[in-house]
Amino acid sequence: MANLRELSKRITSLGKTKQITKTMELVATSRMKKTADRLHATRPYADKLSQILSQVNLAEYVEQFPLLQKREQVKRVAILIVTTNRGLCGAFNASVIRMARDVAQQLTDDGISYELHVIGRKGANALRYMGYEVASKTTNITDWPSFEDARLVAETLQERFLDGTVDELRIVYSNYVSVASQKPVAEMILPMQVEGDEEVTSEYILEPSAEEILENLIPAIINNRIFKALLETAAGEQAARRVAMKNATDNAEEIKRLLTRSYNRARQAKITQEIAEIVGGAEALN
Amino acid sequence: MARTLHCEILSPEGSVFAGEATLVVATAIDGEFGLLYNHAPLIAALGKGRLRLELEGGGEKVWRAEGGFLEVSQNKVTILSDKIEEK
Repeated sequence: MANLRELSKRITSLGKTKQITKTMELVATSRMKKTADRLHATRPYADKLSQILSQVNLAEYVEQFPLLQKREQVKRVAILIVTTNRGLCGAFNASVIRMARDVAQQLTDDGISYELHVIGRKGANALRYMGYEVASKTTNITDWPSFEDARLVAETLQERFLDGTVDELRIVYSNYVSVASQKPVAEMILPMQVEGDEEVTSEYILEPSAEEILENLIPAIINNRIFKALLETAAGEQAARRVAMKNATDNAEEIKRLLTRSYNRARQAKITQEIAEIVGGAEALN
Repeated sequence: MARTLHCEILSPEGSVFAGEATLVVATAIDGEFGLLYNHAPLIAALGKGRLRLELEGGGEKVWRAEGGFLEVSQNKVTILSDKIEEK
């Protein structure tokens, strides 16, 4: 039976595929740990930034800082979409893209125009394919993003906000909730929200002045938020890939089991047939 | 008890340094300033320049920072900078 050889070939090929997906799963697991550690390492810095911010009576300074000012009429919104450069990570990018499309649809419904700035080849290609116009795409950020990457993106978009091209900057990215869960989120970056208007009585001496500190602090916070989004995406990508590759490995295992069973059955059928032929032949001789 | 300041230098990528120092000299926007034990609570915006720590038990460490913030309260100094390099 030619079928036997065919089956045996498929079983070998499947075994190789399984080995590849298994390796990818292990690589993703180790990278996931490293990127997640990195994500956690940024927390003290971020916490301290907000702690310093809380020492300044923000509401008082809104007038002086355009980055804090809500525009009366929002005509155009920039949406920053953070995706990955590589695939094989399940629905990770698809869920971010879906969220971004929802945000865009909502804006269209409200009669507001928007522009899409995409990080990651996957998002840029998918959105373009769906017929969206991609205003800018950044594909040179690796799965090990640096703060410099974030700063570059942040500064370009901040510029567009300040010169009035856009009235808002939003970001859509995937939140690394846990190893097993990544959730797409949409957040407002600019204008930066001023929380609470209660009077802050600070015991701190502000050097040289609250204004000068804010002038540096506000961009620092915005850069850091974008940096955090990049890291969340990097960690989530690895986690999602791990799960996707584990499923692929399990699936390969399952198919291999079924094929092996068919192979054995075919082999047995062949033997039985041969015996029947021999018995038949011997009988004829008698 | 040793009269030292507990210093921590943080960058967005993580902790750069943590340790005890007897003197901290940093460059603010308008020039250098020094911090000793029992300094009043202060938040400063840092400029481009040196950050020098005189460590407990002698020795010193120097960084070059470009922008950032320094916060001191209750003898704890936290330096935040996204561009800092050891010299």
